[in-house]
Amino acid sequence: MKRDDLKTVLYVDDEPDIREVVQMSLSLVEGLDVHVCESGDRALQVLPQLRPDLLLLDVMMPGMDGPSTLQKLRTMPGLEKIPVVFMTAKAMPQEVARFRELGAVSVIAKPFDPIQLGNQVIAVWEGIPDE
Amino acid sequence: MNEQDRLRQQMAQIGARYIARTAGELQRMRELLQQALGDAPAMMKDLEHLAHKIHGSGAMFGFDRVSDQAGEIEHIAGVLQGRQGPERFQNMQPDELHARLREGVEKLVEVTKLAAQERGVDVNVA
Repeated sequence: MKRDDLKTVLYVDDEPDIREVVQMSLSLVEGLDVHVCESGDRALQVLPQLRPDLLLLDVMMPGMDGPSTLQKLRTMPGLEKIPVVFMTAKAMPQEVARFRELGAVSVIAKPFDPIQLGNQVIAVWEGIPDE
Repeated sequence: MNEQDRLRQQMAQIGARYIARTAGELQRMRELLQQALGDAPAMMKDLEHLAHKIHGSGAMFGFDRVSDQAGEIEHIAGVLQGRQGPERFQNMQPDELHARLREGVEKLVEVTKLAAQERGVDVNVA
């Protein structure tokens, strides 16, 4: 994907401090519109209107967790192709493989460096093949 | 101040808020522990989730001992729910895991108090 095509991201995490850090970090990326929400359920409500270019999902959340949110998203017409990246402290190789099998385009490990997060996200985006 | 310095400064502020909130959540963790080891074993999942949150965010804000200790609790809670955990817990009997969990929660209280003190954050944990 071309860097300039990444304009909007949605980050979903139940942990308010981490949401704030991600919002601050990604706001340093020029031209990127950063949205956050607190749960998978809420994400599925806002996605039809927001239609982000990239969805960043925490894995372990109460209620609908990251993998369940991804599975539900894949059944939503018009939204099913939004690329999803999991952000997780559980980034062991077998778990990363499982997340990729579920359809995640990448996994970003927590803790991440807030200074570098924008570059990581852009690298993930540029690694997604054009359709 | 450039944007990166500003981000570091904001991280320090959020970190102070995190450790204060974590200290406030420890009483809840003790309650969940009592319930999970008592008549509400389903509460083990909530205990695991709370430990997971403290573990993940602690590492983010440089509270490594708090994060590690919460990670230990998360692992034990996971093993008690039938999931595979670190090798050191896999062959333990439930009674031993329960004892480790109790010790782990109290140790988390101690390291959280210490971490707050080191950052100059006032917390009130019994």
